[in-house]
Amino acid sequence: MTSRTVDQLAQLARKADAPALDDTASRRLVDAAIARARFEPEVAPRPSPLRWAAAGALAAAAVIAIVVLRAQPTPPVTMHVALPTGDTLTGTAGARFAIAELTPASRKLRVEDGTIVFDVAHVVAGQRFEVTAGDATVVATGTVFSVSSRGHVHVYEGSVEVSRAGHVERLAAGASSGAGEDPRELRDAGETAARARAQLHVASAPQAPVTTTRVVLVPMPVPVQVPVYVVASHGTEPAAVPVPASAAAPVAVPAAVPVPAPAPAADDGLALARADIAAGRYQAALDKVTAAPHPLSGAWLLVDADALRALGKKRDAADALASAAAVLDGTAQTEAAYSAAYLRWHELHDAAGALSVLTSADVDVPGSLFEERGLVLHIAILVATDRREEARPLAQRYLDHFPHGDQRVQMLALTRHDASK
Amino acid sequence: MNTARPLPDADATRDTLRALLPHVRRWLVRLLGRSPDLDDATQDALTEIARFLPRFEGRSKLETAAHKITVRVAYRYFRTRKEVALEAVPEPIDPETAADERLLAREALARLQRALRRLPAKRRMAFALCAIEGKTPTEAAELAGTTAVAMRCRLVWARREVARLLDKDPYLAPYLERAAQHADAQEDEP
Repeated sequence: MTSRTVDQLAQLARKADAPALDDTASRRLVDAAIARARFEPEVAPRPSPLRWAAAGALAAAAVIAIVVLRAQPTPPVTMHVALPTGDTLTGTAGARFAIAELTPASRKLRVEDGTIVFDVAHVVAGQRFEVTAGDATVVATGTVFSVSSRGHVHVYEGSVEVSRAGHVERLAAGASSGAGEDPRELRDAGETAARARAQLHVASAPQAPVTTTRVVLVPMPVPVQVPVYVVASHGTEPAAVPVPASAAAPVAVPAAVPVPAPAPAADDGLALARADIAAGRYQAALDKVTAAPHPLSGAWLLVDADALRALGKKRDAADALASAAAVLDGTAQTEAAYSAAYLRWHELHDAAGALSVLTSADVDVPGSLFEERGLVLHIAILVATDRREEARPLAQRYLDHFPHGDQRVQMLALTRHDASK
Repeated sequence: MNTARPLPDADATRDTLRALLPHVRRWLVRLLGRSPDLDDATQDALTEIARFLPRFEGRSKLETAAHKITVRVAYRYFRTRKEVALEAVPEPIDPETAADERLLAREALARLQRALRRLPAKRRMAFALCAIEGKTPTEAAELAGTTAVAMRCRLVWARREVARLLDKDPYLAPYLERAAQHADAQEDEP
């Protein structure tokens, strides 16, 4: 390989851009970083040898200082964080939390260490404030409560619903759930916030009725990272260009006077369904797939597969990918087939189904862009199903074609082991 | 004892981080590739930048300081994941390119990133900063906290190692040949 080819690759890497972040995701990253900057201990730089002498002197001074300071009780340390949604968090030193989602409609936080008192801004119908800790999920509706990382919950004002292992418990002010109790300084903070809120309620006009959302603990689907596209030309298979981040933002509130919208073109629907997936609206994407003209094109089947996979319907997703591989061609077909085989083997443990789609689309044949990955998957399935004889020539082909491949050692072991018989 | 650190002005901090976020993401993609750690690394870098802001005295550009912090964070992530899935590799920005070409480019990038993950951290950083980012060895040395001579030396070794690891790759040759033809054709155009 020449110096020029290395430069070409480096240029290619320079052109590559980061995956787009929508406004919500950007805000979440920034807010979480600010919260961590305030709460989490800094990673201390490794001390240089020259600093040890100074550290020794300081340690001696600190021993004297501790003796002096212990004579007087230290005031409790609490920390406050105001979220942009109006909620206030109070924690003890060392408490840690993570923000999973932070929008006015849905605030999801997780207590990872210590205990935190949540003074939740008013939650109206359609909004949700949720805290998870240990095996507990707490849903609040404008209230003050504490949650510890071990799952202890105490309500200072209002009420919350606690879901634990499928059992839902409603807690009113003063009630607790789970073992443990709040540190004294947090009890003070919680009671102060509750009193302030009570005075506010007396002074303010009646609020709109609130609703409590009952939450059942289910695994959160992992969002599928997909590029977002819009239709840029009028061909049957649209040219794809990245959508600006704003296009993936939640849809605006509809206008008061309904205006009949023109029927969207099929390509528009596809772009909207992809935007749904990029924004995490998987069910909406599936609804659009259902409304799309059938039989579905390869592009629609890929959208279907992405949404199904994100919703945890792995078998349906794998079937959709296999169907896409049957109607697509070129590298798109190979990619769909490889993904279907990967899903069937690694997630569903369906060896026959994985091998079927892998071989029918020629994923690992010489010249395929997915030859290396296809071979690795193919060989893994054959070895796991005790078909090592069939795996051996494939392993040899891997070694011939990919002498520096990551799986070289395993392939060598396979071929040598079989040769020694 | 860990206490809540005062940030100078929450709104100003937020605005600054929002402004730096696209830069941080771009730097990290070039340093780490589009790894599954990208979001975690971004948050770590922003956290460290937020901690640094109260100490920022304006002696250098804030962007340079943020870049240095990002480089430091990237070093930590060099030690984590080794595998690069195809799905984790970024799409090159060229919407005009045909789908097959984009997939080939993506594959080439996956192979480059895999090779980079096999390099020692300092050489990998040299390649990322100089060859990919286009920094001079002096600029890269300042970001990575080393000397220009050391950076130049690491770059030479990194390039040599990348060339060795990717030599005889059956897919890179046709892709790069086509890319070279395309570049030559563009140069020939009046």
